[in-house]
Amino acid sequence: MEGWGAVYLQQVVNGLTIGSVYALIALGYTMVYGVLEMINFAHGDVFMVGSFVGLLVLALLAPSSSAAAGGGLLLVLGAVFLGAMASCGSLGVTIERVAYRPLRASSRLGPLISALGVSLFIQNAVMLLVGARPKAFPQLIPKQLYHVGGAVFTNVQVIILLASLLLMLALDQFVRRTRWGRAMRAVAQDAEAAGFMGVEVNSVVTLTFLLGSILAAGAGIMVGLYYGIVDFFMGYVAGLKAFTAAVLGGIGNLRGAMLGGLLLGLAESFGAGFVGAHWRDVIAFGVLITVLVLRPGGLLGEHLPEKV
Amino acid sequence: MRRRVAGNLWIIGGLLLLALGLATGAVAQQQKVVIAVTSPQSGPQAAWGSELIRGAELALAEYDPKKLKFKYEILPLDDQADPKVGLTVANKLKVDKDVMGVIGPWNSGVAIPASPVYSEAKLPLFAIASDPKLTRQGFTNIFRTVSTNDFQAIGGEAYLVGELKKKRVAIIHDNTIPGVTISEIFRDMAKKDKAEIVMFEGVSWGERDWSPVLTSLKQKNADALYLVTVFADVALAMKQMKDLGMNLTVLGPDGMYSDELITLGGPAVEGACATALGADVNKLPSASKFVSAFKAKYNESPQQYSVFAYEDMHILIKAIEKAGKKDRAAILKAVREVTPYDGALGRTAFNGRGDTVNQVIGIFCVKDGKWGYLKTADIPKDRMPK
Repeated sequence: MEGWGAVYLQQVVNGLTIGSVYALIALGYTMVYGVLEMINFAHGDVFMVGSFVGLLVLALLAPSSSAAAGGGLLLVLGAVFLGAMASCGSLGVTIERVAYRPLRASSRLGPLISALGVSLFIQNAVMLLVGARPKAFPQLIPKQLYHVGGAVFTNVQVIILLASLLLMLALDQFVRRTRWGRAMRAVAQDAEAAGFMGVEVNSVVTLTFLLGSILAAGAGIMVGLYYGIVDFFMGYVAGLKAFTAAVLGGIGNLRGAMLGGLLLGLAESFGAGFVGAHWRDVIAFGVLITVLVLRPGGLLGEHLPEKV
Repeated sequence: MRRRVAGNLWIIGGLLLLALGLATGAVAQQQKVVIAVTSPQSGPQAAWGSELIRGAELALAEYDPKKLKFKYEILPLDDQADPKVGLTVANKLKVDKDVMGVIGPWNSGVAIPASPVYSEAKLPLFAIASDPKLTRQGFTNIFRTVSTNDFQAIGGEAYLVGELKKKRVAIIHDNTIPGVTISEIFRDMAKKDKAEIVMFEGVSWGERDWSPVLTSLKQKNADALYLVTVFADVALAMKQMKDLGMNLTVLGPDGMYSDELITLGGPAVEGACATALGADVNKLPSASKFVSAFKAKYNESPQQYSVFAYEDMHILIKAIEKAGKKDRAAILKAVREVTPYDGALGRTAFNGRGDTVNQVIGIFCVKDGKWGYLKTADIPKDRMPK
């Protein structure tokens, strides 16, 4: 590796890759907080389930688990993404119906405790179903290395970055331009008033969980492809980091979650790369604390319902 | 089906007991001596723990019962790899007047808390646990034929720096106490041998993203990496090394010595090497008799640890026969008298602490998608335990 410029560039690539995954998961936290003002702590585990459903779909499609060729590869990838997104979408919606909706009128702690319970339930259910040992995620996409300016990145990293950005852009436009998106924004602003104006609040909440879980499933597949190893506990740390990213950007703020995710990824890779690997989390959370001290609402401002 | 097997087992067990009863009737003049084997015999580590029983049984089968002064019995006790259960087992054995020796525990986490109880009971404890701390508490009743973890670092260094002549070595550990300890021993030895330590970092278990630390490693032009962590993390690290276009020799202690490493890492872990406690017993000339007896009796090749239990049982029987009485203190003294002992592991002699001075560290490498035995590390004489 040549000079510092190359190292710098390499760490940017490292940080953006993991950061875009954080951002995808963070969107789920932030959307749910926007409409319900609750933190869905089971969201990280939905992301983990996404990885395992992807693994299951792969096992069903290609028992040999060898990479499919050319056009077949795109079909397989599509099937894996669709299968994981469909399952996680319904899982997210079910969690809301079963564990959160009955508690919506209770204290703010009710849904939080319930979410922690759901998280433990999902983790242990997956552990009992597939075992505690890490599983190999087949390398569907034949890896290619690109050397640019002394840095190295793989086609998988490019795919992750592009796919994440595409999903985020789609969500952003959906919320800004469609009727459903407007309904979501209305409920986020004032659920009661939106209800009076004929918005079906419960449908909007369901939609929010559906979208967040679909994005988490996408992230789950990408992480599987990127690292090639998945286990039942992977949602815990990833969820924690993504939640941090959401707070960093401003909880409840969609673009804030995207920015927060990318920034956290960069902070981690620069921290681990230039200061020391064991400083990684110290630096990531140090950045969070600093931002919150200077800007309590996060980088792009917290989304606060306008109570008049 | 399972129930029927269990039923059959009861019948067989009953018959065995009956046979035992008849046998004891026949040789009533022989007093009973019990050797306990404590190890995980259920749960995820049962495969390792149960191997110890086999090793002990094989050793006992090599003696003609009529020519022995005592009637030996092996008592398997499942400590479940749990320190609390291990303590219960120790207290039970302490008061059992027939128990004259113990093989195990297998886990350091079980052996260390239970060791004061065994020491108080003056019971000869032939531990299979490999944490160096066990024999450094000042007890006089603990012996180990198995190599200790500090020698994984010493042996690994002897191979990587001493033999492969690596000059710029990076060390990444898992932030655990044993991991850091091993890494520090390796570092000190490597410095003695004039290698440059270009990195000494910690990455905790479960960290998936190794790219930042690997990027900084790549810049340091290391020619070898000593990687002290569990197999899943080694697989992650080596996959990401490949993605960064890195290619350097990777060696680590036995936390990565598992077929799972290859399952998870695939082609990325090709060429990785691990140290393990002991040589590959199936390729050890001195152990050929043991290996063929093992295969004849159990229809499979012995794994890593049964040979130590086999050796321990032999030393115990020889010591008890020499003492000639059921007196634990006398037997402890006799262990010192019957060693050095030439057996399956070569020449076993215990130093003052009770560790074997014959520290054997095997080097295993991934070749063509399989773990293969390379050789034993050539540890310099002056680094062997005194």
